[in-house]
Amino acid sequence: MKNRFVAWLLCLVMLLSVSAVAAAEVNPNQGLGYYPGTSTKGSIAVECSTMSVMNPIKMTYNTELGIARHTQEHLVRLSPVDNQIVPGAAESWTSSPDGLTWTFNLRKDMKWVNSKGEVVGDVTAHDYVFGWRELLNPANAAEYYAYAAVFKNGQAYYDYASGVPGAPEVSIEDVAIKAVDDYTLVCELENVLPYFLQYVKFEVMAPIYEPFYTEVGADVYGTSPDTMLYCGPFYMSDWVLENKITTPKNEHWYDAANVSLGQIEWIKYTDTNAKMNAFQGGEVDLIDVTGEQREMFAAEGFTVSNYVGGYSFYLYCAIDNDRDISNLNLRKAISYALDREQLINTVFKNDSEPSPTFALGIAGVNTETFSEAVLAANGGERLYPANSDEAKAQEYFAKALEELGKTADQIDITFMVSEGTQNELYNQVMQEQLRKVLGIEAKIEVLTITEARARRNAHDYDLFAGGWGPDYNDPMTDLDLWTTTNGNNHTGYSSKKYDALIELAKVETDMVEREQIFVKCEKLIAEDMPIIPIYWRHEDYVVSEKMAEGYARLPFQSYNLIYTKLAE
Amino acid sequence: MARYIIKRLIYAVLTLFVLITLVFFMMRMLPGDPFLGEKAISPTALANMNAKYGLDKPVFIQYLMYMGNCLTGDLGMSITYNRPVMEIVAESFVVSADLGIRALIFAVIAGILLGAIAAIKRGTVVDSLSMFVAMIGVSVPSFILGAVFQYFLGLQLRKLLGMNVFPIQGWGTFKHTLLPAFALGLGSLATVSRLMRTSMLDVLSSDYIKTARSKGLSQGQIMWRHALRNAVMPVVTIMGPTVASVLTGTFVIESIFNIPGLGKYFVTSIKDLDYTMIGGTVVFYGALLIICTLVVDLLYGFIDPRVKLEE
Repeated sequence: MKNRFVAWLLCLVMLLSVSAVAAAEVNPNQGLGYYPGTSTKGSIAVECSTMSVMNPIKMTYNTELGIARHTQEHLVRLSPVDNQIVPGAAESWTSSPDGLTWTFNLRKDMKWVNSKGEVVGDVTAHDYVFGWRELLNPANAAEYYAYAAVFKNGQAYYDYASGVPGAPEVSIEDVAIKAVDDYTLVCELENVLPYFLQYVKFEVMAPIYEPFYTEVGADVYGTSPDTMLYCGPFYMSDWVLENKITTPKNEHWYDAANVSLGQIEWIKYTDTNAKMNAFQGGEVDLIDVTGEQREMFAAEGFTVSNYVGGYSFYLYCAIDNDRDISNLNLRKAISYALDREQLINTVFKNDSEPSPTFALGIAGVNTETFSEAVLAANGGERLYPANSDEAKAQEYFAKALEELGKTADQIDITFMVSEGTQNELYNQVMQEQLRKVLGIEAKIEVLTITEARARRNAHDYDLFAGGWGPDYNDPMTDLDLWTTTNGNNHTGYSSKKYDALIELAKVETDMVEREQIFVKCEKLIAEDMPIIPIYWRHEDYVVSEKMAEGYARLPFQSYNLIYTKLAE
Repeated sequence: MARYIIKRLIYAVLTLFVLITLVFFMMRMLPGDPFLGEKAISPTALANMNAKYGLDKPVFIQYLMYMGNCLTGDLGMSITYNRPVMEIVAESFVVSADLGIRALIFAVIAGILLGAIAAIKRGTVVDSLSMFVAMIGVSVPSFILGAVFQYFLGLQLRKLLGMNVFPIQGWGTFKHTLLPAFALGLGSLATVSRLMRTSMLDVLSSDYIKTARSKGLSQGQIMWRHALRNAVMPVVTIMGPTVASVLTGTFVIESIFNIPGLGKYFVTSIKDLDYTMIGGTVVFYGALLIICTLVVDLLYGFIDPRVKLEE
């Protein structure tokens, strides 16, 4: 009886693990015979963007993080199937009842390999301790150091080591990250962090093999394939700066038996037509496409896939001065006047959605997404209309004119725009919509991206189209932006009520209660409107028929190609 | 002669000095800073990053340090790439130069041949055809030629024949160099062939060619021994500007064919405000062009003794 039960259980486990591989993306164009893809057997070539730095602790760009996801092994990973946390280097983990102390039990079969795929050493808990300490080392000037500053004394050490005046002396040994033995890592947090595992998963939290790192030197580590080591499913064998990275399969990875890809080539394109020609000619298997290219593929009967990376786009409003835009009713009038659906159809020509709420790509506690929880709390009503609501727009506009003591043609609003054909069109359409509905003659000022950012940070603008991609799967990543002291709050919005809500969310341990606090934040944003949410971006891409299934493109893992299965 | 060279070298150094100074202060006047990304960085982290690249010091001190480093051949660390600028420039210039030299060889050899044939067969279909090719080369910019070659000779030809004749993009094998080199070289080819045709026509109607004919030499001997060698002189004199235009013109072609050359760093480094990289590319190309002009000026003297290299 007992044996039978075990047998059933085994079957179930096997079934689950098989479906875990198969349930990621399945190529919709399988067998069409249009675009067979690259001809090299067992390998694929995919498009990527900036790849300037490969030392994980210094990474900032999406593609760089994507390559780290394929070449390094973090304590935990995201599943390509449902984006949930799954074991990586850590087989299991526990946290203390207060949620502050975490113990990770590491696999014992992990190896470091070099750029030739040869084993150099064992991956142990010490490598994670060392990697995280290096993240906190001010000499490395890591942009994402804050991920390691959550550990007890982490921020204090960083401040002291950075020479912040008045910072008390703290040594790196005091930072609560410890390797108890080779395969047990214990760390203690400064504050409760419900999304701590999302932090551990983040690609900059990679391990580093100290003997090798010290040998090549901190500044040289990761500047070429042979000056770094790898412990993920792939390793880097070749890197032509700003052009191509080659990552063959790592035969020494613990789950190598289930990896069927022999190699991935990551290619950066600078010309969209060239990229398109390369895809059609079978020189690349996966590329992102524009709205126009999407229409072209659709006309051929070739399905274009799309995914949500979590990017939410909105208009920043500089409200802490005496500009017209600091008038709340004017901002509401603008929000109701804009036709978000028309904007998407004219400019992007894809499945991007008019934002019903602000935060995107975040999971809910009892709903699939956090946004659904916000909508439910709002009686199913959107916070921002999909189409222009002229009556409401006029109503708010009349109030605004009265408060400002101006007529419609006296309203002074400028869209600050960073250069780029599509971006300029995006702003022109909004300009036209405001002219049509409100009779405002808004101006457009085109600047380089750096100048626009400098002016945005100085709150020296009226409206500026921007976007935000979440760093981890928790509403906090989006919503703490609009607190008074957040460096990314470029609007000048300062609400005691909002700040208090975020502080409350930081200490609330009941996840349902906590979500409700975030719901209140979302509603407060719609009420005070420091930003005018516009659209949720969907990213379009095409896959050659060579890639059959198993790949994934999801929030927080824009590429997960590890378990890609190729067509026979 | 030696005095002339020394004088020119001093001028070259001075020019470079002015160039570096101008570029240094001009890029500091651009709004923003290199670490101004989409997401904000904590003030302490920003201070650490500025300190790492010496950007925390007063601009004038930074300028003196930069000048000092330039003297020792150190162009600094790229802020974007975290590696020495010289390393990146050296790695990518090899590719640009490789492409440029191929384009140049193609332009010169094919240009001379085309020009010479057009002159010999003056007034025939061959002449019109050669000059038509030259006309296209002069009037169509290389980035359009590149895109057209890529689409028709790369993609459509592959579809038509069902085999990979010309790679669409990339770098690494001889095949990869063909389309970009054609696209890049065609403009210079046009200039060379038109010049060659005019000069060849001149030479063909000169007295010594008539003498050679009357001596009973064969057509081939006349062309090779007497006509071509004399007609080619004007082509040599335009080599300087041609080399410069081919080497600096690789940027668009590199972008279209996805070639890892130096060209893109000109644009991206300014967009990223990567100060050291902007400085590095400008200093490198500045020095290269100054040396090229100097060498060509000196060569004139050797080729044509009538050119005096004094005052």
